Amino acid sequence: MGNYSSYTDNELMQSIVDKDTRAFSELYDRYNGVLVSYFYKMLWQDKEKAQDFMQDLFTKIVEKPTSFDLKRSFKTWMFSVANNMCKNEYRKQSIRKNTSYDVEEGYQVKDTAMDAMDKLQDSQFSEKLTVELDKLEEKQKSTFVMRYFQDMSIKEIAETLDVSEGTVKSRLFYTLKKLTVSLKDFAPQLIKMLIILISIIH
Amino acid sequence: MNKKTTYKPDDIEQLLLNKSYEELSTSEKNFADSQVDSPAEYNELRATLVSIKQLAQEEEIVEVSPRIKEDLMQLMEEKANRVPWYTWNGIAAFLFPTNTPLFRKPGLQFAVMGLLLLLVVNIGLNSFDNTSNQLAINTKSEAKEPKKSIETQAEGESSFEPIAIEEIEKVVEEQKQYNNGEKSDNDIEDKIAPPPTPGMVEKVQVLDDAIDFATEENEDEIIAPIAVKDAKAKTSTLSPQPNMAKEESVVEVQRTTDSYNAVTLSEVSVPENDKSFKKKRKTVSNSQSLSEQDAVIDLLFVAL
Repeated sequence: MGNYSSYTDNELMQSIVDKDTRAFSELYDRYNGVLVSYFYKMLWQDKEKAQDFMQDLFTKIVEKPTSFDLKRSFKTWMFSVANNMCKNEYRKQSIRKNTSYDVEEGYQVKDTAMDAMDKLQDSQFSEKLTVELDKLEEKQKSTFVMRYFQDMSIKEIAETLDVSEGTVKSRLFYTLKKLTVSLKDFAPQLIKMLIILISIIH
Repeated sequence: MNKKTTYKPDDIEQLLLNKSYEELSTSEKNFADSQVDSPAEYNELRATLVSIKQLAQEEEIVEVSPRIKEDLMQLMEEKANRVPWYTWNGIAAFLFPTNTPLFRKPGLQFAVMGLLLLLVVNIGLNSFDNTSNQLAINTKSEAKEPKKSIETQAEGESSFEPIAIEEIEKVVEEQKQYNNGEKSDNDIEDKIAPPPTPGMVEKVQVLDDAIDFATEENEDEIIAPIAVKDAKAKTSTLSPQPNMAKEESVVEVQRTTDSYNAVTLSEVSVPENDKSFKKKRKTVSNSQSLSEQDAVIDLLFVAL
């Protein structure tokens, strides 16, 4: 067999269809971290849940690799599956309780005993950002997370969510505006810029 | 501020990430002004976006348990070692290939075609052959029904059939012989009736008269025991016999009628051209039928 790291995602998927276990291993190594991170962001920073969802997704790939259309991009297909899983989870949670997984409950408080001022600010900003992200609509949130936390291009996001690129751009811009209003007091860069500006003047 | 004429968030994102409002060129400022309400808002958006990007880069990596990979690899190996049924059969592999969607599988396509063909043929045959089908059903029902009835009768009463035929043949033969004059009344009498006892002759005469009376009234009818009763009643009122006992029960009359009806033939000797003789002949036949009425009629009925 060849070197699997040189294989494209679609070539690996073709090998998985042909029951190549090493191809599956390579694909898992490529995407397990990205997927866990996405689920972690999308599912109230619950590490256990994020890992379970990631495992479920790869189990689907093992069980039915033919469900993936080889003409499509594997990354966008994988994220669309992940996004649908998140949607189902939101629905389940909203049925179970209005906000069973409350933002504050699901959120894991980071270590606040940091000495540096900017780190403290970063931490506060991160907490607040997480809270505000969870307040967003599912569509806005997924678009924003894919763009800024998964480094996906506008085109990839559009393919994944099956919407136009213009829709993705508008969602991103309005989400950014919304977050700016709610995070106004916590933006560390703004504070840093102000500090720098003051120091220059002095 | 400025009215937003264009909307290019992707472009504004690049500006926000790379330049502050002060660093923007005139054209860029014009574009930025079309997207935001004020330079302050631009800077706020920029600060938020830069912070988020920075945070995303610094974000802690969620550690994935190695157990997950082990489980998945085990599952994958199990799947790889599982031999599907269609690998044993090249035709099945052709009909149900793995890499095609369900509707493109030839097996499914053939199945649908076959089903459609079957439906079309079936509907076509039904629409053209309605009348013949109907006729076939009718003939079947007509042909079957009598067979069934005969079969059931034969099954139920097969033991009676030969007896009935024998009886009928016997009666017909006797009738022929009688008509040809081969047999006299005495022959018949000898054959059928027991020798008369002395005390019964008178009784028989009375009975004979009664039967004559009854047959005059209804010649074509077979004399039933009830009719005999009526006749007896009439005869007893019209011509009472002194030799006979006055109290004759209906049962007695009936019994004597059954036992000695044939004797009347020996007692009567009238020329053939006599009208009453004819009546009596009829009476004989009627009396014979009386004796065997139940069995013979039933058997005839069954035979027919």
